[in-house]
Amino acid sequence: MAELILDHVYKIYDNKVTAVSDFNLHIKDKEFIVFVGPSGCGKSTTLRMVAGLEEITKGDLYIDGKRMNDVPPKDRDIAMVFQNYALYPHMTVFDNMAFGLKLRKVPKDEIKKKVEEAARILGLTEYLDRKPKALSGGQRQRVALGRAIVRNAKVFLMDEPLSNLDAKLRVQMRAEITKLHRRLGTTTIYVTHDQTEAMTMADRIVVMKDGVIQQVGAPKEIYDNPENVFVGGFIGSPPMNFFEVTLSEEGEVILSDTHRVKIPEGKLKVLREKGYLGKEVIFGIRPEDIHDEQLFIDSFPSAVINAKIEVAELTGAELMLYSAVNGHEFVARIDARSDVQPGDTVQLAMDMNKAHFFDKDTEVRIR
Amino acid sequence: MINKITRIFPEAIIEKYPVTNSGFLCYYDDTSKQYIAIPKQSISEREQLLLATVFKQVQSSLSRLNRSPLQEKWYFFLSGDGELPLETEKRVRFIHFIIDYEIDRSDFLEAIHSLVQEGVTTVWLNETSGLFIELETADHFTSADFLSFTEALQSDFYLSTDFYIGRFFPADRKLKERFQREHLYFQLAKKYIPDEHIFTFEKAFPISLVSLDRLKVMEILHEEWTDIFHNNFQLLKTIQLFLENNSNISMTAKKLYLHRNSLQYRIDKFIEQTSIDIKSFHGAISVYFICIFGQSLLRGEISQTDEKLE
Repeated sequence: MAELILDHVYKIYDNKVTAVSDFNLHIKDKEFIVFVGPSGCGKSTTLRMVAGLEEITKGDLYIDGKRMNDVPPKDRDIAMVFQNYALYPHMTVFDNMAFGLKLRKVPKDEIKKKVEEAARILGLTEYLDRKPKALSGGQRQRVALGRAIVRNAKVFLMDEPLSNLDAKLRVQMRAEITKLHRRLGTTTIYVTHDQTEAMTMADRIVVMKDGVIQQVGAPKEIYDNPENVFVGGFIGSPPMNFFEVTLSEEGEVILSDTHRVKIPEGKLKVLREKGYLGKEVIFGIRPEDIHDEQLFIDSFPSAVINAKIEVAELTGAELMLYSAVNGHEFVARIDARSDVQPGDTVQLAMDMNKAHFFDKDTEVRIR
Repeated sequence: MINKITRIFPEAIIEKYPVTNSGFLCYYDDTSKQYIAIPKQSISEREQLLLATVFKQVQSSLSRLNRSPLQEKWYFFLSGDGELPLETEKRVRFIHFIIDYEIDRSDFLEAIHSLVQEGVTTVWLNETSGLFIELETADHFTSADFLSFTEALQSDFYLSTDFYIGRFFPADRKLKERFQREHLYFQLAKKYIPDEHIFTFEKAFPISLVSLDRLKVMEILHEEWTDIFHNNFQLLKTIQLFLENNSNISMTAKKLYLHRNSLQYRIDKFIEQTSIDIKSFHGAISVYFICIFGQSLLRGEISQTDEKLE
């Protein structure tokens, strides 16, 4: 088990491209931390710097209080899991799992014990004699996890380990990795571009963009209180709706000439104090905070808009309604029992207590 | 520096790869990234001492790397004047590799043998690079297998490995030339796309075309043209038309007055014989450049015996 500290870490390549900039993070012992962000945001580079596969240009990395910048990867006591299964094709499952231990000159009987234990945890006991080609994608990824488990390393580093699996298997493996982490308690850094994986698996999420941390927090904290427009848009599916609006002096969001919604007193106080009334801001609201229930419409008449539905997508339990106000497209996630059809004009009420306001220039949340 | 050395030792040989001939002392020049081999009888003890302080002596370590006689023969064939150490009807391919630091070779080879087929020869070019020489079989590994394998090596050895998966070639005297060409493609591709770890001709060839000087580009185009099309202008016409018709078999067959199955057969045969997948974008673009070169030859714009290409 281990505690990691990344202190003002930078990665600058020879061609002066900055891949990671001023990365500060304290990862607690037994924590499951997820780095999430779009391609090229620096999440894998950061992971590789922790592993020692990339040199840290500037800053310090500590594992359990020991500075690791100059410690070779093999001496960092880490185990890695990758996207492409990372298995030896001509070795059996047993040999694949045992190989790393063999390199470390672990006695044979101990290797056997460790591999059998890992196989039992991962449900691979009956496949130990098979070669990777004879396994399904999910089983192969479990073997890759097994290769990491047997090492009993201080830290697990996982680089998009589920990206090669189909959607159904990914959901299943997601739960398996979470269960495994609860059982082993190994400090884990998990890299993904999939915000659903981040939300469902992490103790804390690190949202990254262009090599810079945008926000660090528990999934719910990040979802409910995004630090900026990027985080609000990246976390959540469908993403948060954004409207460039003007706030009236009377405390309303002017969505269009005909659509004004009242800002609740608590939020209005902050906006007034910060001097945003009468100015343009970015107004954000999540799809599930837009309602079509009559009870909601009756209760919040000052937050109702009339919207012509362009597309209605039934996902099973929910119905996604796509519409636009004053040229700004938005989506509402409503109950699937609603009988709304494309072309219908419906009344939708925005739950303004859940509304988010961002500075138009800096795109930072107004608080 | 190298020029000065060759003036002092006119018998010295300058090579891209270490010379392991026991009659020579071999040194590595870090500035020019080349090896200097000097015949032992031409160099005094004092000069040896002096050279060893300026350059890294490499001969002894290479002998240690390529221990078996077969490895040594292959090494001499590929980097010197040795005979081809193979007599087979089967085609062979080179899988070039570079690792980012020196490791325990026996552990590394154990891992390697879990990937490549039995009977594969490993030849080390230096402490961190080498190649596997593989005979053609029905079942050989693909780029995806190599990618998975690279990550397995990384998780066990914490080292970054780059592979260039060569094409299958007949086992003849021209193998050395082909090896050197592939080695060049690998070096250039690795430099220009450092984030990639698995390279093939399809990926590396276009990079070579934009990164080498014109004369070298013409030289490799000529060599590839000869290797791929064997100066067969009829084949050139078929392949070029196929590529120019967006790889559409039906449309190309119509224009060639051929049955689509006949054309399909010819395309598949071409892919099998050249080991270049022209149905992929990278394969198509690489071969298309060679087609354009072939067309220039056909129109007489470039001569087969052009002095510049000699």
